[in-house]
Amino acid sequence: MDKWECPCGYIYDPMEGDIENNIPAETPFEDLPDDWVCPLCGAEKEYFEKLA
Amino acid sequence: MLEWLIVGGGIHGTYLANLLTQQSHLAPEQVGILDPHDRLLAAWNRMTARCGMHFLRSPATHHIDVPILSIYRFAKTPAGRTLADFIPPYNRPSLALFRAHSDHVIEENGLARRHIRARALIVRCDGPRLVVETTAGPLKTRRVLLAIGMGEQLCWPSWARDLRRAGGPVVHVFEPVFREEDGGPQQSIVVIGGGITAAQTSLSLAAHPGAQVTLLTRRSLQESQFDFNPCWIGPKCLRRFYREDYPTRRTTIEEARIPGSLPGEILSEFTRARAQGRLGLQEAAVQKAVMEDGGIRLLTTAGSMRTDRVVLATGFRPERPGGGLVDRLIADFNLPCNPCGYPIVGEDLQWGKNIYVTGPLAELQVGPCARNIVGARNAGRMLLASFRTG
Repeated sequence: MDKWECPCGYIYDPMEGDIENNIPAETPFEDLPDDWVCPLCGAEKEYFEKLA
Repeated sequence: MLEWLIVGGGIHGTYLANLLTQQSHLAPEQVGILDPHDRLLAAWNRMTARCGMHFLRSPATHHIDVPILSIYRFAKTPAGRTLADFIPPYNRPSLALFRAHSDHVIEENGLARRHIRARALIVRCDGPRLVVETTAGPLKTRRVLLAIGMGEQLCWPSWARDLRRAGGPVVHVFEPVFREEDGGPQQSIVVIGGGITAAQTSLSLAAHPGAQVTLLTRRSLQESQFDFNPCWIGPKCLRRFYREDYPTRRTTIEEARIPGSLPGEILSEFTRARAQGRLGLQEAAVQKAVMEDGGIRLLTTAGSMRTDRVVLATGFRPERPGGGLVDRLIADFNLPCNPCGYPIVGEDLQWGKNIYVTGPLAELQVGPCARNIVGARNAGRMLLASFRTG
């Protein structure tokens, strides 16, 4: 599963999920809810870039 | 006795009080917010209302509640629905929605009951406790968190100070005495400044019938969505910042912030108003100002101009905020400062034993976004992390 990076540098790692926002581990970025935002800066999913 | 006394009831103080009472297992009554105004966020509300702001410059996810999507949820309630208005990208909320949401958060979390209406005078040690002497008497607390903003140190150019002393009609937009409608109709007004506040104030004043408004700025208006790159909120830029020594961090902060800039929609509105002849723009610096027939003559690098009134939108003086309270604190507790005068604090934002900072006082640790709303959220993360690990 791919990791995705926010403009602020936060990296969404699907293996970890996002505990702060009740996203369980092993949730692919594509399956995050539409209203999910970066837990650090609040950027929406569309601003994230897939890490090579 | 209080566990935390937060000095300052602005965005930072109110958010951190909310965070501490919700996420640190403290009873609400163990947290106090010391602020001399009649209500929390009073100064922030006044300043944002007076400068013609309609939308915040920060995203909808930056606010005083703990859940990051709180404004969006509030916008779907009956109280928020009619005010729900956002500007993309990053969905910057309307000022009306942000204020209503803030009032809702304060009400729902009983934060107004944490407000102690007084001004801090001196902090002193009393055994393991701190005592804050205030205009309403002494307060005992285990920890003090200084959440002092720049709002009490308005930037007055020397020519403007001289003019005010001479009784000239000059006012700073963030002064409590500033009223848009002062001076009556058919008057000429020069607004001094080059940032979002100057542009918004000019547009707002120009909306009054008969007002002839000119924005006088030292450099061209510059478009920028935010006043810093979002990389400064997270590790992308902060990782390098943390490796720098403190004098270098000061330089980095100066370079990272984008002063005197405005978001695209305000620049477009300003350009449109100018094209329609509703306001003027002149790029020049004021060298001197003198009283003339009840008005003001400004001598600038581009020549001379007469106006009935000058409104300063020149922001804040850059020195360390807190005035005598913080000066005395540094002396009495032997607190470390960078050559720029700002605190050198730990990763937990602790400056001295049980003395913590946020906002501009914490910017050598929090980075270029320290003064913004998201700076409060980052400061909160740092504070809580230290208590969870410590």
